[in-house]
Amino acid sequence: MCHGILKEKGVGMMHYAWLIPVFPLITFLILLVAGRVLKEKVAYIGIAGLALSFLLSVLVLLERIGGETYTYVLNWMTVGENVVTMGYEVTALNAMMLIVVTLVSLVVHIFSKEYMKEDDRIHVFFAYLGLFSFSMLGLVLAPNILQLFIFWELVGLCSFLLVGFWYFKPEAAAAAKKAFLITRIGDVGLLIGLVLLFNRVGSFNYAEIYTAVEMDQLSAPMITTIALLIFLGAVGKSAQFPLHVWLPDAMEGPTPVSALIHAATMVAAGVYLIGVMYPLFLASSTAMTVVAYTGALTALFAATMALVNNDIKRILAYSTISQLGFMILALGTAGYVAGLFHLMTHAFFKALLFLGAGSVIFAVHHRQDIRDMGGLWGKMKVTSVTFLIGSLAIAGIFPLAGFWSKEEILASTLINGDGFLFLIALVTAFLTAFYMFRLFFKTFTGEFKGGDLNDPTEETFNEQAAWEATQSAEVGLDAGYEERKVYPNHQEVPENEPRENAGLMTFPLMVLAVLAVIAGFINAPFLGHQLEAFLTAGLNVGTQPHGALWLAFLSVAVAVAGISLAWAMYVKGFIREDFFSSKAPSIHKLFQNNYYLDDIYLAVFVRPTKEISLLLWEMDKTIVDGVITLIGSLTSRSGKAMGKHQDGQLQTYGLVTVFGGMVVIGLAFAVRGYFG
Amino acid sequence: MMANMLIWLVFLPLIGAILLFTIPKENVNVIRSLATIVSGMALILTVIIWGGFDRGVSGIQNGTTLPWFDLGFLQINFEIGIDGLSMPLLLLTTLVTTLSIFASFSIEKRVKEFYIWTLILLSGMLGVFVALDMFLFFLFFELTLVPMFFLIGIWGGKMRSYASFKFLLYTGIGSGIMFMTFLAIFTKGAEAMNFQGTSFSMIRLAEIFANPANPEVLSEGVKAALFLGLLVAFAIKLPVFPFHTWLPNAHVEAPTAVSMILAGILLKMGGYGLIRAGFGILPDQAAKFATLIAILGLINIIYGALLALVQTDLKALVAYSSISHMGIVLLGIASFTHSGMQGAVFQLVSHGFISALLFFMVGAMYERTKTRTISEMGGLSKSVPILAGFMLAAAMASIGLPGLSGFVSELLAFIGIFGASADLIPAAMTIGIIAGIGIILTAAYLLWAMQRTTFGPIKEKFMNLPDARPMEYVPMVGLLALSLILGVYPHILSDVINTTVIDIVSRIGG
Amino acid sequence: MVSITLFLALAAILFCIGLYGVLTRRHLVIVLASIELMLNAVNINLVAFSAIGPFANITGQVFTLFVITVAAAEAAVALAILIALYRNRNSIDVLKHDLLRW
Repeated sequence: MCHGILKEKGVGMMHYAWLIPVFPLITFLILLVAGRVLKEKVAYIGIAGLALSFLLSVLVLLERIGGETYTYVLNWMTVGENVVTMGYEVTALNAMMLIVVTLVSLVVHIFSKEYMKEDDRIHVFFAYLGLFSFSMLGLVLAPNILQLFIFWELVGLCSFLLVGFWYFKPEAAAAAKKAFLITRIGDVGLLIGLVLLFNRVGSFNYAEIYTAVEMDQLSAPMITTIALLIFLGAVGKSAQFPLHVWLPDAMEGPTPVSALIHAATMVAAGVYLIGVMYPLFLASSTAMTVVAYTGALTALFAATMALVNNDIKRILAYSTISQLGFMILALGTAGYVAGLFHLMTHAFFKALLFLGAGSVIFAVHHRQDIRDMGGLWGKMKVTSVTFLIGSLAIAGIFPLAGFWSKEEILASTLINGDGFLFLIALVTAFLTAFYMFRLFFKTFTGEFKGGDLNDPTEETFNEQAAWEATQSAEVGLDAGYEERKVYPNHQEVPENEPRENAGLMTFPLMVLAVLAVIAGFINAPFLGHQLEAFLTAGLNVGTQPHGALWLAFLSVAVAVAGISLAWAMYVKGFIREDFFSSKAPSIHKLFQNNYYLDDIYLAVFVRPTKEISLLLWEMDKTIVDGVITLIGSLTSRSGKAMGKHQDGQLQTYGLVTVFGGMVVIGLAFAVRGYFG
Repeated sequence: MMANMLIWLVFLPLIGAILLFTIPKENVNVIRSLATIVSGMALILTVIIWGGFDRGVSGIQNGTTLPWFDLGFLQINFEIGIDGLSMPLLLLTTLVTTLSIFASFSIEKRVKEFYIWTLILLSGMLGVFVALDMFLFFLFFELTLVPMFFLIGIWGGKMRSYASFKFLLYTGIGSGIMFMTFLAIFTKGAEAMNFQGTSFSMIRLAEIFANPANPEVLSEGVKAALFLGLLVAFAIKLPVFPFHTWLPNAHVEAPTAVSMILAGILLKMGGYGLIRAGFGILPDQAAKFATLIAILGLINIIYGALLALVQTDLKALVAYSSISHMGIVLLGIASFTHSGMQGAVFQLVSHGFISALLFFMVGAMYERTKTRTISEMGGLSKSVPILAGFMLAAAMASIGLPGLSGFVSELLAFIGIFGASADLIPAAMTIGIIAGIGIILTAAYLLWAMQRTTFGPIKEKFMNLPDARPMEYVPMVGLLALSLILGVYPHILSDVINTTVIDIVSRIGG
Repeated sequence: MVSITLFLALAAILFCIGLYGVLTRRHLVIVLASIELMLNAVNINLVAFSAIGPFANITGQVFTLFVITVAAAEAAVALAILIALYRNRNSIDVLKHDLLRW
């Protein structure tokens, strides 16, 4: 192994791990200041920054394998007698995460160079990507939960900025706000959780929190409370039920963003959070049960919604939610390695699927409805093949990456969970295979149904049309026409056929496809569970469950069943496409409308809040302010009333004075008899 | 040396104001540069004082006491000094004032008077933060009132006279209550000392009131009444529900630079006074009323946020957000923990920068679009991307985004309220959780406002607005950078506050 | 020896006449003359107490001289003001001069 060589040289790469997030930060700053000048060159700067980060991450990982955890901190703030520190730490888990984040970010940068080339604000896009990479890497390197929280919020900000990148689209603006707000609900839970931890442990550091949990410094109910609050943070960020509603809407952002943030990295931060806080969760069986059931239910619900959606990106978004549910289910059933292993493999194949979807969307001129696609297999060779690999990987077909991690999740659910959880996991695995191949078959096989690409029909979900519609409504057609050039897909050559994209877009697909094939082997049983040995060394996270051989066969069988059903329905037509929707239209509608959760939230939370606020405002204006106005007007009115008697006549004043004096003298006589 | 510098610092702006009197009012540029130079000099002085500030001392440092009035038993001294509480606020005052002077270059009306009033106001604010004698404190407190009245009343918007009179009445009533309470505190202190060696000095009075030797004069009831008097007096300034209604009016009408000073510094005098006089002289009473203060803070947070949610005027929205954020100060000080108290002071400073920036951005947008109604804006990122970017950054700072200063103070206040002893605040946990909802609401109203002003399709009439002028970068970049510095490395500030805070909290902890 | 009460009664009557004139007459010159009457009532008191009061003393008579002097000066100033007022406003009717009214 290489680390031997490095050690001999005494390089001490881990000491320089802080540079990993700094490179993207520098690219962010450069692009922020000089972006407008650099124009199309910005992509190279972004790619170069990430490439450096990636290289350094590889070196750090190589050194960390067989090495020790490296921590470096500085004083950040004094709170009473406690000193809060900030710094960085290289553990087994975050060394792995560094690779995942930098690699996915790098390929997304490369992909975006082509995908965003026609956008006027490409420099802003790359600046945001740099900021995001910085924040995500900072999150991963954090040695304490407060620093994690800081970067946790920053990635949320980047998500907000990137989802709302096309800010002039009302849907994008609304989606950005929704994403930020809903994750904010979870964040407040996380914040309260870490505040409670700090008050009891006196430190935010992971190591000290682990020690406190081990030494029983926290009462059992408190551990459960804190664990659940922290889990609330994960629920928001990782889009778990019931806070998952923001993720499908977040697909309003550019597709590379969806691949990077809303599939591979940021949304996995919740899973990572549970990972780093795992000793705390293990100490509370209640919390573990809640985690497991939330994960399982999310996995199932999201899969059902993915079944009926027709927007290529939204299907993938629901699929992401479902897969994140899988990871959380694994963590909730003591499958520490299983959850994190799936996080890694999922990052690769889901990024692959999103980028593949991006490639498709780019080729068919920004349409996202799979009913308008089809027959792309022959026209887009690389995209099709890599997309197939991704779909097989997510379905869990041996020997692709998804197979290994999903099999471990099933094992941990079976061994540590109950039968119900296992059943849900199995059903979800079946549904996953089905909806992914529904998507694949409808997009790539059959006939192309898009018609003339330069004549987008009304039913088509089309950013351009939506944009122009809003424009013509708002300011007339002229302004809308000018806006066209900001859209990345607007190609001037008229063409009626989708075709394969340039190498810059297909190269990332190929890289990720290779990873989606091989990434699973690092924890394959026949190679001795390498990842597990690496991740669990020196950590007290319990014994990792391993499934029997029959489970592997069962898992593949379920996946194959799902694929076959999709094949039967969408390729061969043995079963009619509307079979399900016609048999149970109400359920179909329920799935399609996201279980009406958005409407429920609107009715239960949003509207009442607004009503109460309006009521309070009225009260503020009438009662609170009214009392003061009343006092003020009473004063001035009584003043005016008295003022009437001030006629300006000296003689009147004199008369009053004389009478007043006489009254005073009279009183003096009456009360005290005489002046004595 | 340092003590003399404090005196210089307080009177320098007054001297500047007198100098301005001598300049003919046509020389607008001379007047502007002189005002900038004077406040800049004050800023440099504060930075020097900051540099020489001893972080290890918990009590007053750089103190001076000069005899002023001597009427037998009534002795009033010119007593000034700073500690970890006033030092950050001094720096805040000069920084925000200097930057707001940059923001006021667009004012064309009666320029000379404007800067004269601004400089007098600066003197008053600095005086409040250094005065240790109650009489002197009151004098400087009043000195801020008059300039602010004229600044709103002359340079304000359409309803300026209503707003300025409302401001004057509210804060005037507050000052009246404050003065009466001060006199009562003095009298009770004098009685307790048998009229021997009494003074208006807050430091001395704190010692007298802490002395358990005089129980019959300083009964619990009397002390409670005195504390409530101080609470109401400063609650009007902070402002605390239900005394808050002057603030939205004043902000909406005030010109940008004045709003910056009003939100950035003047409100902080309320919080500062509450800690300095209320918690300094009567710490046991403050502890007794901790639950009340915490609940008031909670009401402020939620009430301000809910009202901000339904505002149609962008500036009123920011004003209500100020009310909401001042609740965090109350929450922090009520907790009687190191972190809570520190968070409160941190919030005073941090909100000073953030609200000033927000008001500046709203003002800059208003100057261009000629409207403050949220629904009439939209898509401004298209025509003024830089201003919109800074406005978003300001909103994010206000939301409490980590990396910016608002987060640190929120975090500290939350650590405080969740760590508050159950004897002081029985329902601390519940209060903390409800306050957490306030954080979500903050994000809701600010993002909603941003979505509707800078995002979305742009209106045609706003297509050709000019983006930021060079002079506007000074306050924008300055304030954002300050918030960023405090957010990234809060040690700079927490270092200065910490020892004093430990001292204040220890007075109640015994 | 005449009783002091008679002097005081005379002064009181004189004072009340003057007061009545000040409070009721609309012509400013008459108001002025009434004021003189009130001053003279005071003078009578002073002289009376100075001669036959319980603490008979020359100071009272000295004060009377002062009062007469000041009254003369006052009358001069007041008449000057009256003339100025008449020139400006064409009237010295008390009721017409309430410019300082709120």
